[in-house]
Amino acid sequence: MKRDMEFMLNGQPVRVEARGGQTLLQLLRDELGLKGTKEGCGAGECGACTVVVDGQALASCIYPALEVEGASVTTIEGLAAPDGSLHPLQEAFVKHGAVQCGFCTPGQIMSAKALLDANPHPGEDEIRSALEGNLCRCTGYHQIVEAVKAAAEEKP
Amino acid sequence: MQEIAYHRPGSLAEALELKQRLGEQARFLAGGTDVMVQAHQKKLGCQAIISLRGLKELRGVRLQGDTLLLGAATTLSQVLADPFISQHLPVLSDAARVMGSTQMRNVATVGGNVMSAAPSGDTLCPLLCLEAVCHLASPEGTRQVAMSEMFLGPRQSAARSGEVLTHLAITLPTAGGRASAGAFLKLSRRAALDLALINLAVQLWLSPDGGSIAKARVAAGVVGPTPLRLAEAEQALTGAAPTADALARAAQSLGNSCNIRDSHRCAAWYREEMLRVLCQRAGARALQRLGIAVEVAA
Repeated sequence: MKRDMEFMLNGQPVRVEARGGQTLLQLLRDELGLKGTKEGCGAGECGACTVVVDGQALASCIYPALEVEGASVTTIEGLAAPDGSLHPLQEAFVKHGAVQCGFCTPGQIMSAKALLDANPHPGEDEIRSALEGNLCRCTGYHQIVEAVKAAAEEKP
Repeated sequence: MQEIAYHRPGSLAEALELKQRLGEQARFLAGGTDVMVQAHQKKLGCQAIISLRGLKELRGVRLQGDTLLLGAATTLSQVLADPFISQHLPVLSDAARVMGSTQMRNVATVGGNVMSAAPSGDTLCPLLCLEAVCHLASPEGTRQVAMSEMFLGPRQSAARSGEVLTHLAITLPTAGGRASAGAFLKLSRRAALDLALINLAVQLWLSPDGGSIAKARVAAGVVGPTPLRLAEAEQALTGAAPTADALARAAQSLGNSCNIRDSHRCAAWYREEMLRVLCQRAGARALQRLGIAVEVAA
């Protein structure tokens, strides 16, 4: 079963043909060529595939593609400005050494983005809670939390 | 995921009609955190999905007199963010807070947790303690099933094929100005993204003078094939003074109604020991919410 559908992707309207059994992750990576969103576990348990749909962070690997019809989806590709300058969260991740192998980073940043959009000045507990669904096997999490704190402090 | 027909009906009536037409070929999906994982593992066992996600009639929380009507498609994030639930049903907020992760809570639903009927489902013990009533709809009409009758076995609910859980009706424990509070605790290896090794909920009602526990509900998960009410603990608490001693006696009474087993995640003896610990700690937290400070030994 295929269906034409429209949704907002990183601020731009897109029209795609989505399949009944397709996940949002497959649609983003395989049809739309946005490879920034990663597949880790494929079962919603690692957070590497996190994207933001209508303001909410969710695991795109277990989210049916057809459910985003009419929704607004933001992926890691939607954060940098058109001139290539990085989003404050991306800057903070670089500056604080919150990236090692980098595989979990897009998911971490998207979880942090959903948090800061809803709550621009979170406490450390709120940051840790927002990122609890994102596994990182390199950094030990400390630098990631520091980076999100720094990005939050920069926000007016 | 293989080729699957994905239906997004616009109303509950349409969803029920679709299911009646497609029969066992189709499965309902609420948040998808179970169904989509089964699809990923190629264990879905159907050719069609009927999504309940967009159905407004299944969403949201509203009050009807002293009864809270909790829409089955209300997400765990919505439960957690609801100030009325935090105030009157903190036992349920406790459970929502420790389920999965932010990404899971944003899509997973209370109704999905009930209908999945996993022995470890975190909202199930609170809903058992709150004596929630499940409202099920089918093309034939609606019927009600008490939470205590809802679970037949691991991942097997009392709902019949073709039935949709529309909402849970919960009589407010604080109705009529009664002093009542509850608490839920979960034991798991990690703080997030983990299933409970065991979980336990307590809801206590004080006598009008506050000197004794007039009514107690205790329920635990992963202590048998389904989440269970623990009658011995409830009996031990009923009529007792709200003290650490009463909680200790309730904890000692536990075990007879359970069928605790070894599993690859946890040894039975540890589950049994920790069940007694959680019972005392959750009881103490419930009493603390009623303004009674108790120190428990464990």
